[in-house]
Amino acid sequence: MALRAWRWAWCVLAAAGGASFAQDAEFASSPEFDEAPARARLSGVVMSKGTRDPASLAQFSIADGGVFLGEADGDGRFSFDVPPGELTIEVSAPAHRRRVVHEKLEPGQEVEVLYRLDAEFTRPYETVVRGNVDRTELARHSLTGAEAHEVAGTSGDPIRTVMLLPGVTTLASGLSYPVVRGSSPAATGFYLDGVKMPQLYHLLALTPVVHPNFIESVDFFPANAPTRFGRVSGGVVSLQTAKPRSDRFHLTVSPDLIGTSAYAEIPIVETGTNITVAGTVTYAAWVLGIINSAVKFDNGMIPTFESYDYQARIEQKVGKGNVRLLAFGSSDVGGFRAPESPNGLPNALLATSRFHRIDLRGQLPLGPGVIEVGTNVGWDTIGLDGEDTADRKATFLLNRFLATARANYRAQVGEHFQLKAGFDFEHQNTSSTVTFGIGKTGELLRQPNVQGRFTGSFVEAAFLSDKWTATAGVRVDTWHLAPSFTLVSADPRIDMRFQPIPELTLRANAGLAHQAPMLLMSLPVSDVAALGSGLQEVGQLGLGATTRFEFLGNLEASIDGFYNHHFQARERSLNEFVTGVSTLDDDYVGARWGRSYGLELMLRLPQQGRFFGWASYTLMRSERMRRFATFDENQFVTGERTAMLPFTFDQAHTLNITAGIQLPHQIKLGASFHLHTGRPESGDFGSRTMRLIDDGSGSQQWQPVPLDQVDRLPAFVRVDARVSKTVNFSVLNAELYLDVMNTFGIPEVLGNEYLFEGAPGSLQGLKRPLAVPVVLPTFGVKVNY
Amino acid sequence: MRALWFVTLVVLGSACMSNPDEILPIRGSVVSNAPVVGQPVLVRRKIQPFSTGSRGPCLADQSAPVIKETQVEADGGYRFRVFRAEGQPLGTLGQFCFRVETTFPSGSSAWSELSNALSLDNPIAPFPEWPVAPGIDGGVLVFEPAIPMPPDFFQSFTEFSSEVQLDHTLEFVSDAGLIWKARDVREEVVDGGRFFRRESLRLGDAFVEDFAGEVRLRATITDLSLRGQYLFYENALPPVQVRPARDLALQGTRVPFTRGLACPPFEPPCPFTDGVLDRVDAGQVTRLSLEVSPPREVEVLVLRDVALFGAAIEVELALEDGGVWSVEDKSVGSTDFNFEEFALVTKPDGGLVPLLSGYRAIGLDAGAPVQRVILKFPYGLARMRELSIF
Repeated sequence: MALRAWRWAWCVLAAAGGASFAQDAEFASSPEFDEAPARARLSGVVMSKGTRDPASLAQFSIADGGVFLGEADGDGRFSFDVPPGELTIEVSAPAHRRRVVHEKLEPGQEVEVLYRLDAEFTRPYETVVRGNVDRTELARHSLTGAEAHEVAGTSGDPIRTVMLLPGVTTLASGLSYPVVRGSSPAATGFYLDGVKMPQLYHLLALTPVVHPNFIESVDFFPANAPTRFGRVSGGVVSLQTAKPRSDRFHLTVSPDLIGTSAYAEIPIVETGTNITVAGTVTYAAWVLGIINSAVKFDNGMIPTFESYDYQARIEQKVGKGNVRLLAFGSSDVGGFRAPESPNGLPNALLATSRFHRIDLRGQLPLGPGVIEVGTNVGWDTIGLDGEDTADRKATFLLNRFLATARANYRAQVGEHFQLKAGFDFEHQNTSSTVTFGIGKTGELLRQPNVQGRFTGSFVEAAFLSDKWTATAGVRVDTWHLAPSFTLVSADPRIDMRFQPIPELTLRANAGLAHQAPMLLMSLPVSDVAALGSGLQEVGQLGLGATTRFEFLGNLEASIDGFYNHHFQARERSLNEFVTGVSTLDDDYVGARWGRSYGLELMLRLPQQGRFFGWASYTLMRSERMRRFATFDENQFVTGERTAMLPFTFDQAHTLNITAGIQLPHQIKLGASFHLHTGRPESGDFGSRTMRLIDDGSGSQQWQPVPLDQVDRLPAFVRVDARVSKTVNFSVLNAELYLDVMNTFGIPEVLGNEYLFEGAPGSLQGLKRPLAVPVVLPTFGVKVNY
Repeated sequence: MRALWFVTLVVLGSACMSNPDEILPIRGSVVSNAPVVGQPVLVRRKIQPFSTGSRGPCLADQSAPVIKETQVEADGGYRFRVFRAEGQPLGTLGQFCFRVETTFPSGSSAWSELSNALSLDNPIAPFPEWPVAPGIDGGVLVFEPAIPMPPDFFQSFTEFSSEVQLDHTLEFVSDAGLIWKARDVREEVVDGGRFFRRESLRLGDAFVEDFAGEVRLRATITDLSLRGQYLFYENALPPVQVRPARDLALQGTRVPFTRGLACPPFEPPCPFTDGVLDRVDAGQVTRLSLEVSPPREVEVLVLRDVALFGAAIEVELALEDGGVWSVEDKSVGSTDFNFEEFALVTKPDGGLVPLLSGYRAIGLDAGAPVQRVILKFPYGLARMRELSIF
C-alpha cells in the first residue's frame, strides 16, 4: 500500500515534472533539445525449464510494480523496447513460477535472451480427444495419459491399469492376466496397433514386453468388440501406439538396477517420416551375482536372467496414403545353473520365452473410403531347457510360426451411413519339442507338428446421427487343421447407442463370438492342436447407461448389466495339457456349457487439471457345467455327477478405487484400493479343499472333497501408492518415481496347506493358508529430452 | 520378482496337485480262440491298513470288493476309467492294491495283481484262455501249458535272457488247507549263485498221502517285452496268472509209516505226524528225531508248510547196520519269503537269515533199513504242519 502510494506520488510528480519540463521545453525548445532519449530492445524466448516447450503467454514487467513491458506469444517469443540501464524484470507465465531477471542494456542496444521458467506443476491432466475416432468403434473404456501411465500400483504399465476397470478380475494379485466377465484369461485378446500380442510379460509374469511410453492409449471392449477383431471370445484390449510428435526429437531413458529402457520419437519432416523406437535391456546378471554371493543356494546353484525387448514403428506418407512398419518382440532366459552336474542330472534348468512380430500395413484413400492392406509374420517359443556341460538333456518347448495377410475397406456413405468390410488369412505352423535324453544324444519322445490355416471375413454397416449410433455386422471365420479338418463359425454382432440428451448415453449390444479351445493363457500349440474338440462359442448380451454431471466437474456415472452364455465352453485343463492325464471333467469338455452374468458400476472423473480417478465395482457370477465323481471317506466312488458349479475364476465382488493428484513443485501422488472376494478352491488353480477323515485306526487324515463341496478362498484387499517428483534441468527433466503395489504387504491367499502338528499321538489337523505378500515396488527415474 | 515367481509357480503348479477326478486308466486285452466280445472284466480293490500289522505286499484276492466292471470290446480290448479317488490313497491310511480279472465261458480264468496304487497309466498284459483239464499220469501232473512253452533253460539268474517267463504252480487243497504245493521251475542256490531248472510237477501218492481235495493248477506268465511307459519312466507289466477250465479232484490212500510217531523233543502225540494239517509253532527247535521201529527202508521225506530260518535242512539216517546216511537239502523249491511272519535270525558269523516257508520233498536213498531219522535245522524250525516219511 505504501509502495503504491509512493508510486502514485512519483507518477504525479513525474507527470508534473514532465509537464513542467514540457512547458519549459516549450519555451526552451530548440532543435538541440528536441531529441528523445534512445531506448534499448529486449527480445528472446521464454521456455519451460526441463523441456523444450515454450512458456506461452508469459508476461514481463519491471519488478516492484513497474511498467508492464509486454507479453510473449504462443511460441514463447517476445520483443519489446525497454529503458536502457540496469533493469530488474519480472517474468511470469501460467502454471509457472515467477522469475526475476537482471539485465543491463545500453541505449540503442538490442539483446536476445532465453529465459527458462520452472513449471509449478507438470503438464496438467487433460482428456485427450483423438481425432478421427470411429464412432462405431467406441470402446467401453478408453485410457489415455495419466489414466494409462500413472495409476498407482501399475508401474506405469497400461495393461495393468486395465485390471482396475469394471468387469475385470485377476488370477492373482501381481499377475496381470485379466479375467473379463468371468471368462478365461486366454479368452481376452491383446492387440498392439491391430497386431495380436502373443505375450504380455517377460517370462509370463515379470515386466511388460512393450515399453509403456510406446502405448499412447488403451481401448477396452469387455464384450462385443468390433467385427474386425475375430477368433476371440472374451474381451479385447486394443493398445494404440504413440504417434510421434512432429516438432522435434524426443528421448526418454529409464535406467534402474537391473536394466535400462529407452523410448525415442524421431520425426523427419522433410520426408514425412515418423519413427518411434523403444526397448529394454536387462543386465540382471551382475545383481544376481551379488545376490548369489550373499545367499548360498543349494548345490551352488547360480540364478541367471537375461532379457530384452524392442519395439519400432515407422510411418511414412506415400502420396495420399501412408505405410506403417511395426516390429516388436522380446526374449527371456531365466533359471538356475550349477557348477557341475550331480548324478547325471542337468546342471542347469532354464525357462525361455521369446517372440517376434513384423507387421507392414498400408492405407490409401479409395473412392469414398479408405482401404488398408497388411501382412505380418511372427515367431514364438516358450518352454524349459535342462542343460549340462556336454549337451541338452531335457527340452520342453512350444514353437509357433505364423504369417498373416489382411485387407479392410471403410467408407462413409452419405451423411449417416458407414460401411466396412474386411478379410484376413492366417497360417500357423506349431510344434512341440519334447526330448528327454538318455545320455548325450538320446531322445524318447517328439511331438508332431500341427498346421492351421484360418480366415476371417466381415461386413459391417452403421447408422450415425446426432442421437443414434447403430452398428450391425457379421463375421465368418474358418478354422482349418491340416490335412482335412475344417470348422466354420459365424459371429453376428449388433451395437446401439442412444443419446437423448448430451449428458446421457444408453447402450445395448449383443453378439456371438468363437475361439479355439484355450488353456489358462494362450500358449503356442495349445489352441491350434485342440481344434478337434470344437470351438468355444459365447453369446454376449449387454445393457448399460452413462450419465455425466457437468456441475460435478463432468463426473461420469455408468452402469452396465451383462449376460454371457457359453454355449460351448472349451476351456481346457492346464494339468491335462502338461501331464496328459485327463479328468472326468476333461472328458466332458465336448459337452460343457456355462454362463456368466453381472453388474458393473463406475464413477469416473475425466482427466482435467490436477486430478483424475475412478471407482469401479463389479458384482458377478461365472459358472460352468462340470462333471465329477462323488466319493465317500473310504474312497468308494458313489457316483458321477454333472452340476453347474462356480467357474475357476469366479469372484463375486470386485472393487477398485484409484486417484491421482498433482501437487506443487511438480510432485504427483497417487493411490489405489483394490478388493476382491475369493475364488473357489477347486484345485484347478492351486489347492483343493480337503476334509479331515477318520482312517479307522483312531488317526485322522486329510482327504480332498468332491468338486461340489469345495470352499472359497478368503477375500483380499490391497492398497497401492505412487509418488513422483520431476526435477528440471535446462533442456531435460528427470522424473523420479516410486510405485508400490500392495504397499502394506497384505498377503493374498492362493491356496491352503493341509498339515498336522503336535506331538505323536496327539496330532491335530491344521489348515494353513498358502500366502505370500506380493509387493511390487518400482523405483525408477525417467530422463526426458 | 521372487514373490511373482512364487505366485506363478503356485498357479501353474496346480498341474502337479492330486485331483480326485483324474482318470487313471487300466487297459488290457483278452485272447481266446472263441469270441470274447461282451465278456465281463472286473477290478477289485483292497485297502490294506498299515496299522493292522499286515506285512508284505498288498494282494487283492477274490474276496476284495469289486469297484469297476466293464466288458471286452470287439477288438478284444477292455478299458477301465478308474478315478484317482479310488485308485490312490487320498488321506486313507493304508496300502492300495488291485486285481483285474476275467472268467471265460469255458471256466478258465485269468487275472493280474497290481500290488501298489494305480499310476497314471496301467497297462495289463493280455489274458489268455486256458481251456484245459489237467490229469495225472505216473505221479506227474500232465497238462498243456498255458501258452507255448518258452525254451528250456538252466542258467544262472543273471544270464536268464528269455523275454517270456512261464511257470506253473500246483496246489493240492483240502478243507484243511493247502496240502501240497509245487512249481515246475526249480530254483537252486549253488555256491552262492541262483540257478533255475524246469521239472515236472510231481504229484505222486507220497505227496497226496491219504488226504482228499482238489488239484488246482495255475500258470504265471511274465512277458518282459511288454512295458508300460509314461512320460520318461517305464515299468514292466505285472504278471498274468491263469487257471484252467477245471480242477482235478483227488483222493489219496497212502499213509506214511511215520503217522503217529513221536518226535522228540515234542511231547507225544507229535503234532507233526498226527495227520492233522494244523499249523504248529515249533519254537525254533534245531532238531527233530523219529524212531523207526521196526527199521525199514525209506524213500522220501515230505514236509508240508514248513517254515524255517534259512533254506538248509539236514537229514541224517541212522541205519540198522550202524551206519549213517545223511543228505543236506538247500533247495528252495516252493519256498517263499515269509511276508506274514517276517523274521530274521543272526548267524554266528554275523549274517542274517530270513524265515522261509514252503513245501519240501527230500529223497532218501540210504540203501538200507533205517532205524532213526534225525532232522536238523541249522538256524531253527519255526513252524510246520505235517511231516511224513514214506
